[in-house]
Amino acid sequence: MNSSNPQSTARILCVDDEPVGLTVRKLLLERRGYTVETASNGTTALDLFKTRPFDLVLLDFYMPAMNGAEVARAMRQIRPDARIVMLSAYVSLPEEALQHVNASLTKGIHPEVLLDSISQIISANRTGD
Amino acid sequence: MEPRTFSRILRTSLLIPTLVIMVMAAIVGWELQQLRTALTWVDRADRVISEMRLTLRSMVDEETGLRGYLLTRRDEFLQPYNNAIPRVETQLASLSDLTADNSPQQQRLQQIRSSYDQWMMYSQRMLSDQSALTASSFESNMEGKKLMDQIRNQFEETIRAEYQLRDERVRKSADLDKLFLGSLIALTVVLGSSLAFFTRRQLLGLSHAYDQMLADSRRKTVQVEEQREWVSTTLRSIGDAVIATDSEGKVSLMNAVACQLTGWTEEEARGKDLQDVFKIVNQETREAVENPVSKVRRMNKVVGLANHTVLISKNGTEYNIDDSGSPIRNSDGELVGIVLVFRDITREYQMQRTLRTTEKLALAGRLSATIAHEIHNPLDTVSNVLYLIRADSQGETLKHVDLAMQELQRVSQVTRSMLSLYRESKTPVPVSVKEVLESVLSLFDRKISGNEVRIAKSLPSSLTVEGFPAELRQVFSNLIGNALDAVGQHGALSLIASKTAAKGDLPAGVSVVIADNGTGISQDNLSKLFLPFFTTKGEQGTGIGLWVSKGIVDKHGGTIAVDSSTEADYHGTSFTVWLPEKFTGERHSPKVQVEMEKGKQLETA
Repeated sequence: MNSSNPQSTARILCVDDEPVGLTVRKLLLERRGYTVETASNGTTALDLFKTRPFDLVLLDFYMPAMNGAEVARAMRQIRPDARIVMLSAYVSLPEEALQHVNASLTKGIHPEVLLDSISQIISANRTGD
Repeated sequence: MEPRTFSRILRTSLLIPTLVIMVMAAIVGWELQQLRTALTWVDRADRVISEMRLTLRSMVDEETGLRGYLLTRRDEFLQPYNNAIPRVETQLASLSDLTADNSPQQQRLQQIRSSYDQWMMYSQRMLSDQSALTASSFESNMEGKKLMDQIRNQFEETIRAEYQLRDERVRKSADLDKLFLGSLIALTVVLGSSLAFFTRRQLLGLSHAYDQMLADSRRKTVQVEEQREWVSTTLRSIGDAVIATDSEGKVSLMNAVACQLTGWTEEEARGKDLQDVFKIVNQETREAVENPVSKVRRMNKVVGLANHTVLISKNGTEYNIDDSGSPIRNSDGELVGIVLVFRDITREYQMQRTLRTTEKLALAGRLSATIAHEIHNPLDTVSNVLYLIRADSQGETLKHVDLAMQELQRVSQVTRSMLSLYRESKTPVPVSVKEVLESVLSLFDRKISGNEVRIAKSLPSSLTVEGFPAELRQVFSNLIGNALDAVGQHGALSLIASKTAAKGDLPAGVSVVIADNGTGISQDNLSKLFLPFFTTKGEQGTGIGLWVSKGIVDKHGGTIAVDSSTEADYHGTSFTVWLPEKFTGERHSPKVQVEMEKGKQLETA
């Protein structure tokens, strides 16, 4: 892909309880030039989020113990300007679940749609910085 | 009055006059007998008198004969004398018999007898004395004359006495006659009046009893009339429809609700076959449901109707009904008729159906949410993997990967469309029908202008319905998209929205007709149109558009119908979507929740 992408240095935290999906998504993002770290549940994700900065968090909604909406709220409490994208198997999530995220996408969409959305959100923030 | 009492009165009324007449007859008979006896005695006196005269004449004959002989001494003069002697004896004996009951007369007859005997001795003496001198002597003649005069006087006296006796007897019989007549009159008057009195009393009693009977029957008639009135009022007041028939199944009675539901008046329906008045069909199959009369006759007990029974009224209006038929039996247990009780459950039926649909949707929603998770996760992974492979591919492999990705996107599109239907609903909001349709049309702008499709619109801006705008947009997007696919190049499309007034149990609403002049849909396909995964577009169609649309419309409490023609000179398809003005299908509203519980009870009942 395009490794000269100015966003290629961006760091992304990917959270999902599905290990295969998580690994493939990490590969996809890394291929696009992002630095990717993964977590398989909300607690691990929050631990990572506390210790180092991320340009974007890609959150699954349906996870055991702590769902995506709860993780998003906790992250916004730590960093109110955290950029979070909810990626869910559900077609439409309740509105309150999307209060603390920048965007919501459905799993199964074309990968380019996902990559475009991520790229847009990161660059929007970068220009805002 | 009892019939027994009545016949008793009749009997005494006949018996007593008969008895009275018999008594009268006996008395009269006895009296006649008495009178006859009295008259016999008078008769006997008459005979005695006549016999005495005859005896006297016989004696005078003897005297005359004797005198003639004595003067002439010729035997022919003595003939009467000789002839008279035995006659006198016989007559005297007869007189003695006739007066045997009367001693004074017997005494007198005794004296006559002795005087006669003396005269007879005198006559013998005269006959035996041959001297004419003696015979014609004055002394001798005087002696005979004296004796005969004595006899004559004695007879005179006896006859007078007998006359006296006769007079007495005549008087006595006349008295008896008078007495009898008087007593008879008196008896007749007394018995007659007492009979009249008795008969009058009997008749009065009878007439009183008759009056009472009349009054009784009049009172009973009034009671029966009142009872009939009461029954009829009660039937009329029943909220359910009631039809009664005779044993032949001819309508004999209908109450007001039954008239209203069947569309027949009681006068029109009376005597008609029940099937003509009470037309019922199965809602699903449209086949006639078994006539309740024959069903009751067959089962010989109270029967209920099958589910989904629809009553078709005279004017064609249809009602979902719930009913039962019961046999009417007389006191001997014979079937003399059937009574049918039914009620209009159209509203409940529609409510139940809506609830069932809503329930199914809710269940499907929950199921699909679970399935979505299980499908979208691997789908997402496979998509990503293919995308990674694609980056390293070229030539044939790249084509294959593209094809795989394209197919995967179709799967993703289908699941997303299906799942979006069951997203958690918020409260319905007023939706402008014009705005929804215009926004959908704008989506197809490029296709419309590219294919040069003519669009005719009649979309009044005042029309609104309560619902979910996104879902309604999906419905019209499906229908308009289909229509545009059907007409192809240079086709025509018309969109007409209009208000519909409340009719029967249907509330007011808005009807939207989307018609195209495409090739039309075959009858075979029409019936499968709303089934899931049915498509006529081959690879291009997902086969769930209309199925989803119907789900949404149902959820809104509306209806969707299709009409199509494949005729060469008149072809095309029109879809009619009707939506109620007020949202009725929302399952989260407390009102519906209560009814849902009710629906469940009904369903399990």
